[in-house]
Amino acid sequence: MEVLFLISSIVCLLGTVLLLSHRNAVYGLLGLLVAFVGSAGVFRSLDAPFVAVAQVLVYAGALAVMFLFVLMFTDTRTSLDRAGLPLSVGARVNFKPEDVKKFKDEQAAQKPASLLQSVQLPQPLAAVIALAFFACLAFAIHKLPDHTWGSFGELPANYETGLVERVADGTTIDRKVGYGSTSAISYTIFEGFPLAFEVVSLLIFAAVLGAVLLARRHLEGLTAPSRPERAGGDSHGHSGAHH
Amino acid sequence: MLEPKTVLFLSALLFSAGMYGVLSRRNLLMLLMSLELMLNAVNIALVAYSRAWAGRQADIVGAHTGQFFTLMVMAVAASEVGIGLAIIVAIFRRKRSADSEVASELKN
Amino acid sequence: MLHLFENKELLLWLVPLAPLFGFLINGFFGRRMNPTSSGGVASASVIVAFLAALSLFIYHMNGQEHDVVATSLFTWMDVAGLKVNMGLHLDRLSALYMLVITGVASLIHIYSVGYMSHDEGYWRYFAYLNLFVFSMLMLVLGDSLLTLFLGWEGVGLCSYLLIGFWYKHDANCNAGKKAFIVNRVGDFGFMAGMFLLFYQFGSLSYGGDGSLEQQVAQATAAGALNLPLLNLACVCLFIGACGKSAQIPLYVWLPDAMAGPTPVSALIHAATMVTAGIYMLARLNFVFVHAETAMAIVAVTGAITALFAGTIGLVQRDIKKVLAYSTVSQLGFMFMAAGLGAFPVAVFHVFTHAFFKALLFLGSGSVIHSLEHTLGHGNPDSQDLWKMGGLKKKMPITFVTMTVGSIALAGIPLFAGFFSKDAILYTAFHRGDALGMFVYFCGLLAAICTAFYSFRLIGLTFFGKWRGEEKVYAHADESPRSMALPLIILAFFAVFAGYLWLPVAVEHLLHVESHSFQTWLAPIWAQGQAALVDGNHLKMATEHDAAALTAEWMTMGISSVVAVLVSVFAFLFYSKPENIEKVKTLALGSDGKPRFTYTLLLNKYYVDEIYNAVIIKPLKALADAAFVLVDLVIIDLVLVNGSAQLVKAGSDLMRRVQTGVVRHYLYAFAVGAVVMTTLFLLIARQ
Repeated sequence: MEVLFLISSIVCLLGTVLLLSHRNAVYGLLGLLVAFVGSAGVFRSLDAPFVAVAQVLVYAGALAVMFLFVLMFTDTRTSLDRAGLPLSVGARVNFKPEDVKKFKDEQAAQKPASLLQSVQLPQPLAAVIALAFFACLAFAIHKLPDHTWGSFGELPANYETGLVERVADGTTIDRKVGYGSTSAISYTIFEGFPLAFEVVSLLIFAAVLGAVLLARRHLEGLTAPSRPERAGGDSHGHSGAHH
Repeated sequence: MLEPKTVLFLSALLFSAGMYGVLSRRNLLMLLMSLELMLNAVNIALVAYSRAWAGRQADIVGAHTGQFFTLMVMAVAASEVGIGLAIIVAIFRRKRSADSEVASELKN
Repeated sequence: MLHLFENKELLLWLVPLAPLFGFLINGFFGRRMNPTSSGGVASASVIVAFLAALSLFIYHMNGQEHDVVATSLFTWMDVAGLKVNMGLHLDRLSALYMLVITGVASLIHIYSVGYMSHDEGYWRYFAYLNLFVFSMLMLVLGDSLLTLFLGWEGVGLCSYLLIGFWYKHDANCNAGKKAFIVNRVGDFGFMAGMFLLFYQFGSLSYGGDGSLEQQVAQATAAGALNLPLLNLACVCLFIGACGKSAQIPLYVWLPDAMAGPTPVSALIHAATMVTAGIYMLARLNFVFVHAETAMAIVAVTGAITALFAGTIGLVQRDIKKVLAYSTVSQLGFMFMAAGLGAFPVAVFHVFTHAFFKALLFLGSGSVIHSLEHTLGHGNPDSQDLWKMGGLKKKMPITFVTMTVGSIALAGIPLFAGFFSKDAILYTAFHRGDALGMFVYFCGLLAAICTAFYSFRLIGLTFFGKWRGEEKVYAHADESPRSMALPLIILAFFAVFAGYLWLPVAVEHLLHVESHSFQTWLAPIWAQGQAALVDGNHLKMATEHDAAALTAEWMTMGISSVVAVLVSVFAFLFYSKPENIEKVKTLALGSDGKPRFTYTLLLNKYYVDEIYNAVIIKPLKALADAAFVLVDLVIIDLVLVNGSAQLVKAGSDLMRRVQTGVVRHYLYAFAVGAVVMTTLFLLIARQ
């Protein structure tokens, strides 16, 4: 267990470093993926195999793919600020021809940033705040009493569920489940927190609706028939919605 | 011997790292990723609590509450990413940029 | 289907709800309906209510016991000790009122179909009229003072709406506003009285458990009545009754209320709404009997009002104004009786008065209607007595019925008004003390005035020569049948309504035991009259000794002789054309200017002018001062603009914090989180 925890936590931290240190969002996403897989290992080492599997499926699978899709739509390599021209793969077709030409020229002039080239300098103020917060947390954890937080303790072999199982010859035996097993989790969900479970399903449904509504292409035409003029660099035309 | 405190330290470290990411990034996508890292750190802490509880109690629901909570956090995180990414796409369509500082219409 | 009508609760709800339904139909769809169906719906709904009331009366109110129908729809409010149901309570008193209201209202609806036929606001008129009937029924049928108050306000609203019905003339709108505002003064008194009653007895409902009468009875038995407070409560309630029933000092709105359509004057301002004050007093008779001072105030106010309004009525030129002051005067009679503890007599006068006064108003409406053919609507000449005369040949039905009404009003024997008015005068006389004598003489003088102006009106309208333009007379004609029919029915009741309660002396003479009106209503007064007899305040003709009978014959004789003499004199005087000129010179003094007394009466003792100078002008000045000081300076300048400026200055400063950049908010959030965690840790260490 300790070994698994050690390895997976190191993997997790490495992924985190990759996520934080790079300007390029693709590297960042890769780092996040690594961190997720690493924390799945941590879950496994803490006797939570179901959660570990869910972690890989939901985070490393679904969420990462979603991020990847959006990366495709938006500018990925260099996030330009207000003043700069966008360099998006997905939205390029909407730009004026001269913008596209300029973009192509720039592309030709510089190669895509490599792993090392995209490393970002640390931001001092953010670092200070994050470190201060970590110091607080670490101090708090350090102060936790050892008799309760010093060891994880032995797991009971099985948990009583009060359910029975009918075997072939008609007799019944008590159904017992082990810690962290799928049966135990399902028992917890449906015996312990059915309402929360249902509410979460409702939440996801709402999120799906919201995401569809927000990302609809003709949203602007629907909500703002007469848009006020925008100043500055935004006057290149409102083309984003037409591709 | 693995201690709960060790796991909590790891969780705190990841959480603070995510916080650094959230504070330092201007790209909305990276910001959202760092946010996911913070949620993940919380998940690790929750599973650790669950395991520590299970070592002392024989109640099945109580022993798995932390894990159940983790699953809930995952579901909420999935919804949040779905909405967040949709917002980013919408912002990108309007502003042609994923910079968090371009969307500042609510200034002053 | 028919067995539904066995259900008396359903029947009871039908009574107020039918007019409400008519109101809703006319209110929502009336604009699109043609006048016939609009008037038809309104009349039908009130007639349905009348039939329901009649069947309730016949089948459920004739037994000796259990003739109270109570039903509750839902709990209106239940706060602390106050529980009020939205319920109806039908006992014999409310049944009587219910019958009079629905009956007279039915006739007046039918009459209005003809009277209002040329009006563009036809549907609006009927919607208001239906709403009025509903409110009035809620007033009398409600099972608590609060439901009564609901109806009370409802009829006030309808009265306001109908007085200002022809809203295109400023005068009408002002009359409506005046009625509303004067009534507010009274309503304030009513509310204060209600609060005081609730404070003392913890209940506002009547009938059933924990009702007001039970509480009062308990308090009386325990000797726990707080008499000063009870007197105060009763005086407050009486102020409310003054507002609604047009007594001094709040009577000023009723003469102006004649600006409304004449059927409205008949229904609201003569027969029903204005008697709501009497109803309230009669309903609360078990409370009032304990408040001796308040009762004396009621009696004296009633007596003074009767005389005061009667004298004003002597010289009015407007046919409706005469009747309006007559109504004020007759209401004064009712309050006299109520104040002397003779609530049954007061209610009896309400009952008879409803018929003959509605009849007189409808008759005058008939006259006005026929003159308006030529004069045009709203022409004041159509109501001017000096410009009428000799109409009896042109309008025979109106003439006969109105004469019957006048005879009843004047108190000439054998007609309805005689019995009720005489009962009042006899009650006062028989009392024997100073209060009784004062009331009696005021009442007698007022009765003389009544007889005089009643026959002055008949003489000026129907006899003599026509004094207006010739073409108007040529086109004057009897009113349509829908208007004549109600007149005839009302005339019938104006003759015979009085026979429901013959004077004791007459009964004694004829060896009959009728007393039907009094016996039938007796359960209502049982508690109150018992208290009165115990307290030795009431000396009604319950004793049949010779002295009482002689006294009764005597008062009857005096008032009949006086009424007949004065009536004959007024009639003979005013029906002769040559006397009209004499009247005009009589009104002038030796120096050619109008005599002081005449001007004083013509201008209604200048009460409106006095109110204007004493109350309205100072209030206006105060309001102007308050407008400048409070509104312009304190509110506008300091509070509104000042606070706005303060907020604006503050927000100008603070809004710089809002950069609109997400990261800045995140920083603020993170720093806050760090600070909070540190604080928690510091506290936790201790």
